[in-house]
Amino acid sequence: MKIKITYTFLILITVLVSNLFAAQFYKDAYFEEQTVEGEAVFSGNITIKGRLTVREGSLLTILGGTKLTFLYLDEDGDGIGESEILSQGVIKVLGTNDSPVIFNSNVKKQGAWLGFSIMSVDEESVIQNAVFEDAYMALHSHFSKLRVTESVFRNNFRGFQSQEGLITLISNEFYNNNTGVQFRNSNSTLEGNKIHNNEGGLNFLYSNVVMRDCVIEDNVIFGIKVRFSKADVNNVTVSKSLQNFYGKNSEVKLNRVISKAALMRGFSFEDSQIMMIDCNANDNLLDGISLDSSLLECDNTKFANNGRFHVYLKGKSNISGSYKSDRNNNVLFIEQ
Amino acid sequence: MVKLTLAVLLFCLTACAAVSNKTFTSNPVNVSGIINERVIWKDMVNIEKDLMIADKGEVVVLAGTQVFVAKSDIARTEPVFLYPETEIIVKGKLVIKGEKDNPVVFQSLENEKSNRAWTGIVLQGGEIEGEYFDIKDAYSGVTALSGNINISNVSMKNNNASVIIFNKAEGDLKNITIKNCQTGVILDNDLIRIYDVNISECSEGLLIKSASKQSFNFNVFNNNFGAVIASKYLPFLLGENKIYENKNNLYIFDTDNGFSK
Repeated sequence: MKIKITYTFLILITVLVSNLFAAQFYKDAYFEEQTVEGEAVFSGNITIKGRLTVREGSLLTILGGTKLTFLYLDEDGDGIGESEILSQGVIKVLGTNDSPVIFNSNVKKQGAWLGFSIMSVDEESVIQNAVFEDAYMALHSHFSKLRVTESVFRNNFRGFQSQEGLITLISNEFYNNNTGVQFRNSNSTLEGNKIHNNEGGLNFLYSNVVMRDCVIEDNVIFGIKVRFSKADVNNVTVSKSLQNFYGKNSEVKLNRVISKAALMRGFSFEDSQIMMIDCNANDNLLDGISLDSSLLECDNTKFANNGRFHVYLKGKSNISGSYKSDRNNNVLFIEQ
Repeated sequence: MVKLTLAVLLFCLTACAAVSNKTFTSNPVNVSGIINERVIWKDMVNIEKDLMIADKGEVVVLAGTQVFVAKSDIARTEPVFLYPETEIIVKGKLVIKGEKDNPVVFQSLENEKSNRAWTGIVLQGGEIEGEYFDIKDAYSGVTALSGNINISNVSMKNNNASVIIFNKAEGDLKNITIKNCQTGVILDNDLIRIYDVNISECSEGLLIKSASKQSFNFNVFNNNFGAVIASKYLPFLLGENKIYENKNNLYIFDTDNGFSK
């Protein structure tokens, strides 16, 4: 009798434990206004209509080669698609170079689906080798920790946005978006990203930024915008925007940053403190750098072939340290 | 009874004072968000938040309409918009039907005017047709990123930048008068036809990275800095374009030799 009870108990425990750790596998699945919970794995062709919710405490893994299609749904008639993933659980998107994970819509247009949002998740989510295209806000992190590597964001209204997050972006490409990347109240690390051919490039507000080895080019209105933030930028080239690098009420340290071929100014700062080491401002149509009520400390910074002045000072601004010019005239102008 | 009458009178006086502060003479129509249909604006319109005229949308603004634009919160994050300040983005069609003696006016709603009180009108793939209108207090009065713009008899005052034309825009701009700005006209476009342009009382009048041969009859005068022009487009200075009586007239941005003069 005792042996029978023990045996039954063991079987019961085994079943419970195996259920607990069993993942739900979804291959070539269709979701319409549904919720996944526990541990779920996506592969093959996944179709989503409306909102797919990932419940708090869950883990969603998306395997390499998976294609997620968000059906165009526009019930409020504003032209922006409403299908999306909203996750309060941890996300692992595990694409590879050869088999990326694709997120797009059945309709080929900017804003055809709403986006992939990760909300209030303490454990780090990971997205690697993914392609996000034609979304409203392709990837959105709020109150979350997220690492995105080797992914592409194209033809979205916004490629990536974080609010109140801890974010790492490594070796990603953002292009043909309305705006590439935006951070608000976030701690962000960016390495090896290329952000190009967007209307607006990279925008930081109330954030801490560490950025290295990035190329920001051909973004029409602005390349990098830093407001009310603290930025440490190393080995970055920013070029061919109306304003290449704009800072306001910020503390900015620039090391080996090149700003060139702006339609107006290479660098422009208001109410900010800036340190520039081994930087270059060249071939900008109007000025190399403009300072309005800002303090700039230079070390070996070079100015060349800017259209009007290399350095334009207004308000209570000051430039100190060493800088080099390619000419004797029109180097420094102080607005009275 | 006397007390009640006095209270009513006091209430009326307070209400009237509040109304006159906003300079409204009739009830304005409040608009914001995305416009996906044909609408007509007349009399007085308040733009409370960012406004997008979407692909299928059309806004027709009748003569004499006063368009007031509210200040925005810089922390806003809507992806369809581009600037921190409140903006009008045109992906569909904007038709401004001002008249010589009855122009349409776009201006800030704020009592304290600045040249960054709102963004301005941004053309992004749509179409703007307009005549006899004024734009005031904007960060960049008209910005043409792409699309078709045909405007004439436009007055621009107290804007940061007044007109910015990027290289994917097409169209025709004529009889533009720009005063009291930071930057008058920024041109990076060799397709657009732009002529009869007067720029004065600005910090810098005219920046040309590229311009079409159909840019003529510019008068850039009485600015702190007249113009910065890429050397490749120096033929702009021949013929009917005049840059004169500025504190500093001309800077040439040499795209070939690497020296600015």
